[in-house]
Amino acid sequence: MTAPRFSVVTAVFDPDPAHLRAAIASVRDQRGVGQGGVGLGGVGRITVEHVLVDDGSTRPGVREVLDEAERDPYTIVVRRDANGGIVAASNDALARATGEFVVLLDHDDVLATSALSTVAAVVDAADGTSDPIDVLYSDHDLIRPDGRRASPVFKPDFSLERLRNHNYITHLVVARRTAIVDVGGFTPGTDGAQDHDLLLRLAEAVGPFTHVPQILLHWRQSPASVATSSENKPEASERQRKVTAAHLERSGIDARVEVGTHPGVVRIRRSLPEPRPLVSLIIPTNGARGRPWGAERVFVLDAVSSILDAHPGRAPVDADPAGSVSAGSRDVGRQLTDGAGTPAVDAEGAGDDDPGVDIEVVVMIDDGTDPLVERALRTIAGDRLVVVPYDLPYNFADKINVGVAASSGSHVLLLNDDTQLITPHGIAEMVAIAEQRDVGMVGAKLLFADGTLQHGGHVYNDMVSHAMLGWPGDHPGPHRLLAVERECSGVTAAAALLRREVFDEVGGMDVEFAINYNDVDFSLRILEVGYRIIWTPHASWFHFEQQSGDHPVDRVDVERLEQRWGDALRNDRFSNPNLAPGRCDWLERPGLAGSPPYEVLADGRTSWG
Amino acid sequence: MSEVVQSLSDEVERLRRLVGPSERGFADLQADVTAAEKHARQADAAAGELRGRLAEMSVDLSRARQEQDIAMRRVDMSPSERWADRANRRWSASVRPRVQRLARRS
Repeated sequence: MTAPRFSVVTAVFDPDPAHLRAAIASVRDQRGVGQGGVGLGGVGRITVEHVLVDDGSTRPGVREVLDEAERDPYTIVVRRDANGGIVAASNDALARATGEFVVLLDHDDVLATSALSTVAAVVDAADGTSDPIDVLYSDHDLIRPDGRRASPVFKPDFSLERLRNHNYITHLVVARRTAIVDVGGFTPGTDGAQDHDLLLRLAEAVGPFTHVPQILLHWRQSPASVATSSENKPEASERQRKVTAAHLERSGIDARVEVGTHPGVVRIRRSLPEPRPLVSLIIPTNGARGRPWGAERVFVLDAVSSILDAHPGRAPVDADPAGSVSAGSRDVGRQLTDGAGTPAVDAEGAGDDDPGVDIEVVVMIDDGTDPLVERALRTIAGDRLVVVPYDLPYNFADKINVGVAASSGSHVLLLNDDTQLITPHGIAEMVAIAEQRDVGMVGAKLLFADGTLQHGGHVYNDMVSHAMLGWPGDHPGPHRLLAVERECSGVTAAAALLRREVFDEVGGMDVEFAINYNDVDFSLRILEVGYRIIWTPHASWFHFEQQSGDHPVDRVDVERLEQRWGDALRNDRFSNPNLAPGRCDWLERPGLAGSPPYEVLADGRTSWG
Repeated sequence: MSEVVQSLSDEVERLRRLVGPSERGFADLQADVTAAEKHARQADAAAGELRGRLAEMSVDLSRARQEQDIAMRRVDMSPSERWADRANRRWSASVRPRVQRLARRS
């Protein structure tokens, strides 16, 4: 008997019989879609077997549905004597599967009509390349309790960091059976987080997964389903924490994992490297002033003091030799502006808890800047300050390059002067992420003065923008994307951290992008070398961008960027082609938001009832 | 003389009214400014919360308008036009980007 191409495996425990029947029917419907002659369990090359394992169901009607399904020669029903949990049942199903690929399907979910023919086409297209597919996932939507489809989840291409933070993949997952067997199938004791555990172990074993940006599965929302709310399965959160911790340990990442504040999300607290890293702040400034929250400030002073207050390190110098300003970082800013300075950062123990990194402050000061600014910076930063006079015409990229060349840290933090650190341990968080050798750059969460989001990672979706610009600063975002560390195609240089070797390897910023898009070009060159770029919500700054003046976009810069990166700017792999182009807010393209297509049925009613 | 004194006294009173209760020292004035900034920040945050919600709701509104628009167009379509419309959307949203991606990969 020839092995089928696909084995759909389903653990069954007390589903609504109607939902189980729909799931089984959706598998049978895969056979023959767009194919020629009859084959095993299907037509042409799309051969499908369905392995159902009844995990001791007692609900009336379930047995009858399974008995009926068993009459199909390509459906295998295994009956367990007693309920053993989803891991045991799923492993029993895997043991009976014979297909080249295993398709994971819950007992009440529904495969899209052409799901497996689509998967087969994608797998076939890759088979001829040097990069055959081992694991594949698709987008999905939800089936509401009233039976309508809604809430499509359009996912990014493979995002390892995001997968560590939460199972953003969920459904549909198709994996080469040998790959699943090689990692040992489902892990006992992970019930409720077994899929996340399996995905993490597959990621370790076979590397990046392939993403098919089509809705190939409809995930049913039922009262007890995770699709309705992760809070329905609280014990799953603790198991998810454990499987993530185990994955990080296997991956050689020293970290503590906690249950996150959002359902289904974990908080990873990575250890810092030894010896204690020195982070060089690279801050270009002309001593600009502004009035966020009504009181005048010299931006760079508050940018520096907000960081040094959270990183006491070596004690600041007591007094300036000139004696015109006294020590104490915030007070210095106040005296210079003759105003009230800055309100305290939202410190969770700022200053009384060592962040674990040392700070060097490298400031590139424009010619003509008020000399009091440099004097005040010396008072604030003491011997941690390196001043680089800059007397050339304004060129942001060049200033950054000059600053990095003058710095001595193992890590560089590119920082705009109109910022103020919010999270005292933010820089340490970024350093810990950047310590992964395949991570090239780490970006931060930036908020406007009113607390709305300024930067949630770049999006190159027929334009260059910041993800979820203007949304509430504490919003988790669609599909938790603002609540988790995740890969991006780029991050703003207003607050971006790199290992020095990465900066040197890509040759620094391109000075041809004097004002605009230097960070976009820089990000894409980092990706091109093969590094990942990670955005984290756990390092955040205020960015008083409105106060720093308008920077009109230079048409030459736009054309240069388009010429160099046109394709990348239209195909952001961490966005999704089903999202509306030219937007940064995860709005679906017209017609893809989930409403069922309007159809006139045979009896004259419409599909919308 | 008394007129001069009276005039100066009036001026002092006027200035006191302008300065308010903190005329006694710079520290008090600074405390006032700090308190004012705190209130300004709270007001800004409150406005930001509303702006953020507006941004979120504007996406929902755009989504609803898109859906309404496409539904109205579909009502007027013949079955073949509906089929062509669906195929076109699938082509532009899913097939073409994937083909481009595979082409880039190879």
